[in-house]
Amino acid sequence: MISNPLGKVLRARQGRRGFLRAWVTGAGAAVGAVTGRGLLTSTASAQTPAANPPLPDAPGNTLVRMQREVDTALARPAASRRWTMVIDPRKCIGCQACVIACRAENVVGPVGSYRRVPQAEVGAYPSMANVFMPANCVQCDDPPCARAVPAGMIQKRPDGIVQFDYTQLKGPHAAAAAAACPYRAVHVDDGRYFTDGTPRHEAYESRTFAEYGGAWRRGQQLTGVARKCHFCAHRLEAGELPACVTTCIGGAMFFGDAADANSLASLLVKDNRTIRIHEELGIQPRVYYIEDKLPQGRHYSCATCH
Amino acid sequence: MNETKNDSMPARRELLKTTALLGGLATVAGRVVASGETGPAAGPAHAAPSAQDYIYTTCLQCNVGCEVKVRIQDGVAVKVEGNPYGPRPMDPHIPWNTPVSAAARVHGHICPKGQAGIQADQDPYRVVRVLKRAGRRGENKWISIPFDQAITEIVEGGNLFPSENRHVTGLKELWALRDPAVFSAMAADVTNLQDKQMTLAEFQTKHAANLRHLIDPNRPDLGPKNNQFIFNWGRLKAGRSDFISRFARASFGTTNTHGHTTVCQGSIYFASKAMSEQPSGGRWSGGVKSYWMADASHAEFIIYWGANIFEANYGPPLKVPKITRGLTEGRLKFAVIDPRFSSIASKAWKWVPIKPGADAALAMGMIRWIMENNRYDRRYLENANRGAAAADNEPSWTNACWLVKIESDGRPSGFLRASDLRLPGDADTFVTLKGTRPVTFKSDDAANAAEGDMLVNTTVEGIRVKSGLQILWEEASSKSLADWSAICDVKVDDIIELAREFTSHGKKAVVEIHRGVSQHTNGFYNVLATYALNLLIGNLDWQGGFIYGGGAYAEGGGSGRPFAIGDHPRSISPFGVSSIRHETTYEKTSLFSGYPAKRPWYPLASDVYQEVIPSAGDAYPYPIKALLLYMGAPVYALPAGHALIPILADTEKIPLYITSDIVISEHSLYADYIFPDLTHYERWEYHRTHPSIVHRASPVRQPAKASPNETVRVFGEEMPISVEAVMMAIAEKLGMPGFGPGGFRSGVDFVRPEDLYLKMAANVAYGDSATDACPDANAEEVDIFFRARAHLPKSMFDPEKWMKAVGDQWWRKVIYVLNRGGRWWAYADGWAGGQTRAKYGKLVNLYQEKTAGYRNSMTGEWLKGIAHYTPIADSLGRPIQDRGYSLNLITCRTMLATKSRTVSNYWLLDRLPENVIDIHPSDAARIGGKTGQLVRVVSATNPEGVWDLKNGTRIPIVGRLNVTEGIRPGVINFLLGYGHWAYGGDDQIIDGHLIRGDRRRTAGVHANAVMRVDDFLKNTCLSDVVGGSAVFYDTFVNLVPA
Repeated sequence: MISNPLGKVLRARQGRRGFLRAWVTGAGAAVGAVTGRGLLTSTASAQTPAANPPLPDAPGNTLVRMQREVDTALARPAASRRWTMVIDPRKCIGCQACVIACRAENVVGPVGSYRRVPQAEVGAYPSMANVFMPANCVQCDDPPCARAVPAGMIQKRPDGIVQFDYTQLKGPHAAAAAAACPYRAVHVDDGRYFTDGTPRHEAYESRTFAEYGGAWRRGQQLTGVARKCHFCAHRLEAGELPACVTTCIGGAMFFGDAADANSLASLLVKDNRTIRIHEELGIQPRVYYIEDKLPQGRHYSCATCH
Repeated sequence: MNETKNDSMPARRELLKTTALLGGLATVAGRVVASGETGPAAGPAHAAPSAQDYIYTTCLQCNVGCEVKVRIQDGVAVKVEGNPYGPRPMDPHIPWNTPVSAAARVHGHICPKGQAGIQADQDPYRVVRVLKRAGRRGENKWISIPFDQAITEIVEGGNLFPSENRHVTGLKELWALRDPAVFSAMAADVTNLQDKQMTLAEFQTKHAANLRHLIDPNRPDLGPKNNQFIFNWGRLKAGRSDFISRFARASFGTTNTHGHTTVCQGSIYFASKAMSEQPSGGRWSGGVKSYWMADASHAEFIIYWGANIFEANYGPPLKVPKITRGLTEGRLKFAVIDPRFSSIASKAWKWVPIKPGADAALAMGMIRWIMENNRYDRRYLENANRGAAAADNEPSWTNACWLVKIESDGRPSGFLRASDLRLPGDADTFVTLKGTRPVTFKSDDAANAAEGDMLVNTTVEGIRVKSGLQILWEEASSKSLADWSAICDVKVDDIIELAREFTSHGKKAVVEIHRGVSQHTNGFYNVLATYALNLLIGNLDWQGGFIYGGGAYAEGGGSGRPFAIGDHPRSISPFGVSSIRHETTYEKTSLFSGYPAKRPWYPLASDVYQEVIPSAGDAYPYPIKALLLYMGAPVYALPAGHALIPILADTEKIPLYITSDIVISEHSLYADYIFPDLTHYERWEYHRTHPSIVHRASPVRQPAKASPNETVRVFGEEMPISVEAVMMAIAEKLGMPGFGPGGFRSGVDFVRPEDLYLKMAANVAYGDSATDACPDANAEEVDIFFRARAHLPKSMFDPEKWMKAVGDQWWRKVIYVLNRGGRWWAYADGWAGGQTRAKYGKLVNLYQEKTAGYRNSMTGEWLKGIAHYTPIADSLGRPIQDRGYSLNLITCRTMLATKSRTVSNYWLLDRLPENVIDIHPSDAARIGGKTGQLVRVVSATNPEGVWDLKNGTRIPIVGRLNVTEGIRPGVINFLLGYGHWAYGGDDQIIDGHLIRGDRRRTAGVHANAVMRVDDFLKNTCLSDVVGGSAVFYDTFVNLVPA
């Protein structure tokens, strides 16, 4: 029936991938749509991060460079990686793309957020500035939230990410973890949906998603659970950068392995004046902010106000 | 927690009793089923997405059209990433030949609206079946009816609304004249009539058999009755535009296909079109509706003028990284001219809060200083033609040194021709002066270089002449710097500093403008004045300069490409004065009756959006019978949009009103029929590119997810209801050529939308030349292509039919293109030799003979062909003086909203639940206002400050104050995108059931209704009667306690 080059390809594949026959013969589109999906999922889950294809050659592209550095780090044992985030507020334009990318990626409900972009207006007309300071969990090496709950509920992973145990970190423990965070980076999922009060809950917010090595759905399972940024650990493991980093249109977000002295993140910390918020608490946060002025002389950071 | 959750979702418990809205359906894995709800439970680790989990398509949350990849999980669109192949969301973008398996885990950057794009698709208030009005217009009472019934009713007409007891003229009757040959013959004779080569009696005798098809047999120039059907659109890109043009023009034969350009930035387009006209046969033609922007990736100094680059414009993902990188690297410095302290002003070297509408005054001040101080590019401006430009390695040239004739009253008119001096040459042989010697030349002549003096004011053989630049200089020097400063309220020192910095970077400096410059009554000339600054430094086509963009691959075909998508067996060329009187000379028409005309005529503009509905309201130039409005939001988006409501609500003025919409929006509220459309992740389009993009760029918008719309059968084919299905079904019902079997030509059918769209993909695959065709997708990529589409129903993805649409030869190449979501030049190919690789590369008009050849249809005065300052005025040229109103109202966009159509995106609404009215502390103190206080906005033409919906509802225009240093004293601002009253925000009755709206969608204030109505027209906002812009920034208001 099909007499073109593609037809040959399809026929050649029919042995392994029976569902494709439904497509080309047109006899069972609905069957293909439903059962085909099952086949696809099982095939996909057989893949391993190690099978990641090589990254494209894109000179001057910071995202691809950082992703390559993630690949390099992933090739080493987890305990020898030090995931670190560097934020350049001079390049942040306060657009909130990162906040929404994070909500979509991690299926965060309307109350609470893994990430915020506080904004301040400074100066007086007509000499003024807006300052934007993106913020998320800083993955402290000595996390106050972990000290506030029974041992094991919050763990420091070998690669530095602070991991919450969703099966235990509930109710009063969740509240304690949230209250202990000096960055206000932890929230308790209250189970609400953005489409509450409308004729229907939409599937994008009740979907299954990946966090801490498991698959989760909001609703009964996560209501009352403490949640926060984990540097998109599931994306890192798949050889991808955190959602806030890739989506930042200002190029203000940097990510990499501090254990690699030549990583962009390491070089930015080395070559610029940086600060870590609440460094004075001695908890060793892993998020750095570039403090330098722009060449035109203006200053954009928390220090502009504080 | 659980109690709270249950309390907050009562509507969910009710379960909608209509299936006309998405919220009335339930889903399994994103596919629509009859009822119930289910889904996968949590379990073991979820597999990381791979290539087959993404569809590469194109965002449409605004008009930037960023390349995106949509992650599909269990058939649901769950996450949007930037497509790394595209130059908009990746800087630099990755090579196009990167295997899709390798690109799968590389993600570009995309803005908050792009991230929230899946919420426009997954909106519980989406209309998924055809709605027919069941109450009065505007009552928001509907019944859902079968698609076929709706098509039959609008085609056949009749007593469609029994309670109204009126006869509705159907499309069958409006498709009056059908023979393409008769169209051509009548059109030619209408030209003869207008040129006085034929009398009316002669016309009527010759065309006696077809006079009954004319709107008015005594005014043949109005055209046939077909013109009483208007197809009007909002956002529309290639593909769908080809579809609509085929349907409405080539098949149906109406000349009234109008876009929305003037509500966006019309006067930039039409001033630039006038600047790009080329001489041909003694006339000017070939002007392009496009414009220039800055090459932000290489510029050293940019003046962002009325351009909200970080929050709107074209667009943040494309431009922001180039600017922020330029800042931290120390390459780029920029100034921002804007009465509001925008996000980009926050990073500027200098913020200049100019007085709204005085942009040309600042530009003329800068021009004066630059010329007085000899800081302009003489070498560039002395080039009169291509030959001289080429000798200087300049891709473009101006007519700065061309001689212009001066009339006895001192008015510059047309260019001096060689024939005026009895020198050899034709109607396109112009003259420049070198010393005292006239030099004749042709503009495009590469062989005979011509240069001339730039500043000439003399008499040649008894003819008074001036050079183009001289005319500009006289405008600039007509006032002192202090006078210009007083008009625009920018300090003289600042004018000089801006001008000095602008002329200190060679060709790596640019003035980039946008709506803040163009959307004034003087917009056209503001654009010419600000663009004249760029001409003075000759930065066109230079790296880091003023660029025209790399264009798109010719997806429409031609020049050896595989498919000519315009093929049509009986194509009509419509004729007649358009309903918005565009690109027409008023004085030549049968409607000429002196000045002022009843409504403005627009010889230099098109797509004059604010004229479509009010012209129908005034039945000028003729009454209309049917309006099909697609993806436009005139009531919400136009200034003084409230003035349209009485017209839309009046069944006498618009007897048949049909919309293609995704929700019941503010304009669909008055429709007779609403046809659900596909959202941007369910449909096809070729978004093309933009002047800001130096690379050739052809992103494809293609279905990424199943549509919840009802599946219908057209030409025997199943498809979800869409604007395409509506057009095809009407064509099928009418038996109209151009669609169906043999729709392209004998043997080439047009029975599915993909029959058009895939041919366009093949043309993209072909590329720029016969040797440019892309590779065939290999076996792995073919496999990925099919797996990625496994969730799409056959009504949207039918491989056999897709293959048939393009044939064996192109199918695998089409897969290669679709797998990547389009085709682009490699990053490094954007520039060569210090210039952009794609160039404007021709004459740019500093002086415009064509413009100077038209009169203003309202005042009867000749238009000026040169940049100059002119004050804010109404359509009759009278200054606007609303005494007693003290605050100049402006508006702008936030990054978190796109005008009328993102309020359904809860992730965006969550970030900014309502907008506010920005006011300076000094003004706040004067009116005793504080941040958070509710105030009502009132103006001279809306002294009550209300939206009167003509359905018994009157919405007060009330918003919260935000006292901020970030606004010019005397100016107030509101963010456009809030204060909805429909779009799912209000209660609607469908099939007898009350469906409660979500009040989150109605939060905030929408102040367009206080924007000034034109005193003469009385049903239309203020307009730039030259460039066509709808005016957003020239209204004075008061704030009173709410």
